[in-house]
Amino acid sequence: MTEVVHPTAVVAVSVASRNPALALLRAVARHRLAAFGLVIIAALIIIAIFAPVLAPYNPFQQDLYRVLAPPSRIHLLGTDNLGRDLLSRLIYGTRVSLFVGIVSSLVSAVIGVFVGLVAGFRGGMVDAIIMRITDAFLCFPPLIFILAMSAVLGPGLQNVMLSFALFGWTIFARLARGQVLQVRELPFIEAARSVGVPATRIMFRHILPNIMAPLLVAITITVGFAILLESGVSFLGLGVQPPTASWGKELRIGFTYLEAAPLFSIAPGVMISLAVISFNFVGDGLRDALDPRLRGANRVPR
Amino acid sequence: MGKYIGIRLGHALVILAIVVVLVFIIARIIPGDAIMAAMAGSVDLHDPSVVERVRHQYGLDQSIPVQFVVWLAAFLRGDWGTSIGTGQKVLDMFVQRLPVTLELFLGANLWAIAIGIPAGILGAVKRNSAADVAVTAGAIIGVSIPAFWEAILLIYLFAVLLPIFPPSGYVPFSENPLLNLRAMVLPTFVLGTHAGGLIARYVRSSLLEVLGQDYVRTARAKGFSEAAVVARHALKPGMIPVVTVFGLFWGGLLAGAFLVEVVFAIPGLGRMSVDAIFQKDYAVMQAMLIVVSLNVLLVNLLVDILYGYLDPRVRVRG
Amino acid sequence: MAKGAGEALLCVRNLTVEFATEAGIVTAVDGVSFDLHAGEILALVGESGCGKSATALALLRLIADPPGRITGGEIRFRNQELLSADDATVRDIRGNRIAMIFQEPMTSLNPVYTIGRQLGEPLELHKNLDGDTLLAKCVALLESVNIPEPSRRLQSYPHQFSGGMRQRMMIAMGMSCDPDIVIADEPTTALDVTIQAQLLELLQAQVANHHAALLLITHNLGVVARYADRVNVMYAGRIVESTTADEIYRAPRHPYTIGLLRSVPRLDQPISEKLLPIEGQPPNPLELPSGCAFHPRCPFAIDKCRTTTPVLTRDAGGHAVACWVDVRG
Repeated sequence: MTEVVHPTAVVAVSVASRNPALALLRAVARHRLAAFGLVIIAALIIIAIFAPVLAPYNPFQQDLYRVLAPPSRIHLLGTDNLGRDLLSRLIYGTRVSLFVGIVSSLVSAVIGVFVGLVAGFRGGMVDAIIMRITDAFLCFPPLIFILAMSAVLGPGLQNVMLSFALFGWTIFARLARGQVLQVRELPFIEAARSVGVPATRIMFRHILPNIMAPLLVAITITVGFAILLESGVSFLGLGVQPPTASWGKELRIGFTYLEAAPLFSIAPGVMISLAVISFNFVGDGLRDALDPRLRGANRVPR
Repeated sequence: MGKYIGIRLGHALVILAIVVVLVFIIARIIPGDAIMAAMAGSVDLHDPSVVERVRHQYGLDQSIPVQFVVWLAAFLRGDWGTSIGTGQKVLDMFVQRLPVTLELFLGANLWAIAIGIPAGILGAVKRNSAADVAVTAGAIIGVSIPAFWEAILLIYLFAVLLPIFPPSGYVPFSENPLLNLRAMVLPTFVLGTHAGGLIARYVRSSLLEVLGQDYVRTARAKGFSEAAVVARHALKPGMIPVVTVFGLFWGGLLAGAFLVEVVFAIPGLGRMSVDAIFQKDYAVMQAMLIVVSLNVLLVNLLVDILYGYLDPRVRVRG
Repeated sequence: MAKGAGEALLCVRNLTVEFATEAGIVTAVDGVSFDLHAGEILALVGESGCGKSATALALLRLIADPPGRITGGEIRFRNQELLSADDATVRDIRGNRIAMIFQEPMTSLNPVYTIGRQLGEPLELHKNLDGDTLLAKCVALLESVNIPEPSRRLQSYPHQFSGGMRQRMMIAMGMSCDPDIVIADEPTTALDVTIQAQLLELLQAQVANHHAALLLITHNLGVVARYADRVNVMYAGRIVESTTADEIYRAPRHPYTIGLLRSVPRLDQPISEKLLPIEGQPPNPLELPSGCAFHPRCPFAIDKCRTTTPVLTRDAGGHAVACWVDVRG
């Protein structure tokens, strides 16, 4: 028997869905934690850019008469074991952390997305091999991988970033490949192929835009992760080299003087944590805002 | 089910092969003659005949594939080389320190499960309440705070300010169980909170998704109380994806162990590895890389198989 | 077809259900009232979004809160008011006195438990059966809905059943505690056309065997014609016409019902006669038209329709319409 021939009623039309960018911004802003994260990240970026202006002292300037001084009016956070102003070193450390975090993440993303697209699109043997290689890299815990690479390549920031990219691409490769697999089977892709649209065109025109959202989430969270890793590596002594200031390195020094100058151990850690938490909050907020499944939890029955 | 396991095993073997090659590249090829320099100790490298002799002694004059086979064969025999740092056989070093790290791991996992699972369930069942926001925020913070900083803070609070726990050091369980446990509380807690945060988030999001499913509504329509609905129909499908989390955070736990052992001066595998990296003790490094990656691989394989056992749909899809 | 001449088992008065959405509050069910009598088959008809499913879910207080809320009305089941009853009472009724069969059998069954376990749950819960007695009953239940090899099938998982088999299992599960009322929410919509008829026959037979009343939610007029005793037509959250199935087809009175019937082909219609779709679009539930929600699409609309919402009025013959215009005139 036939059914009543009428189009489905539109339930819960969202006004904001007419402008997706606006909807996104609203959703993220509504997510209080993410808003907090955004503010912190903005502040950190400003600090990094305007470090020379904001830092009260030259971070390399030693004052051997005031070694390990407690906080005072001249040195707001005290000084380190060589008399350098801790506050200034932390401010300059922001540059290091943000730089390492963002660059590492972006480079990993570029490599990873490319590999993932190829794997997803070609399929078959190519895909299988790339996937096994990805899995192999994933067998190494990131920190351990970077540590090993540091031992082999030598310490220093560049090597940290290089090492990060060497395994970081796996995250993005998996992501991109997953997206390709999902989109590849969609009817309009089949239609495009049957008409003769070349694969690369399909990849860039149709698949890439679909990836943007989860990609953005992944990049954000990866920045936080990279900052965490860099601080860990520096803490162990293998990251930045003296006299450059890095939060992780300051923490390392601080730890040795834990009882004498506890603030030394607290302040850098706060910076690291704030930065990483902020990127995680924002990434989380983005993911919640962009995840259609979670929005489905508010489904209205007909 | 057999087919499912078979495929997983096949993958694992291929991955293992690639891993072994990677380790070889990282720990042998890249350092190149630096190994020779390290292994040879205080040998005059400017004398070509000496160089020649040492190269030959360590098989570095062979072609790379041959070196690989020789190296691999030695490894499988149990000959993991000798440590420059301690002079011991590497394999012995591993065996010696394994129980220590094992205890650290066990404790960490206990904390993680004890904190993570209840927190995750609470967050899902009381969605968007104050408790839920606390759980979500707490979980993210738990994962974001550097493990070594958390360790330092806890040491400061509970070992320096309030001398409840020892700030560092380790006493074997066989020697003094009480002191051993006391010394391990802080380290295992630090490691555990990270994994716990991850578990809590996974449990929460998985359970949330399950609670929105139609079959939960069917369960309610049958007349079950809300608690029974959650316990009978939401927990099992909700927890299944959580099993995969173990595979995910295992690597993180291993890395965290490195940091924690350094901070707390625990003589485990992690501390040994960090020392080896500083000393460019390549024999130890190689062995460590293989052990670690093998460990991660095995855990992921087990998780996959377990997942197949728990979720009947996966077995069909393979 | 069983004739519904029994007492009114279920009395719904002014039921109102709202949903909070991003863009505002949607009143999915707006003052719905109807009775369900013992042994009768009552069809609730309307297009997607008219509020029929929400009505069904509200009867068992299964509306997800948030985002939904039952904001008004009264539901009396055998003199027990359900909306104000405590949880224990409602739980005792669910699956036991009033059973529900859902639309999507695949997602409505838990994928990680066997069919047998899920089938037996209402019996376990309400009749305290267990062990071999429970097992035997489950086998009997599967047999009663014509599922072959029932003992073996109890060990299967939902994904191993076909859609039709799952729905038959759902029917068996629904009938297992011998309920007074069965609510079937579009039971065949998710199934192939070829097995829809089969399933409906089964449902009707089961309901008749257990002397239960059936509230059948559907948008399929053909199903209504064949199986229903009485029909309630819903539009935009309200009942606009209510009468026996015969009357609906013979002499529909609401312009919407008339429009529906004209847009559906009939066997007794000459081929040359055109099908007439109803003009316009279903209304946006966030911005319902003033007065009668159907007036923008109604060929009979008068001024009053724009300003005042019509009330459902029953005539002497039992035929109720919510319309200011008498289309017979």
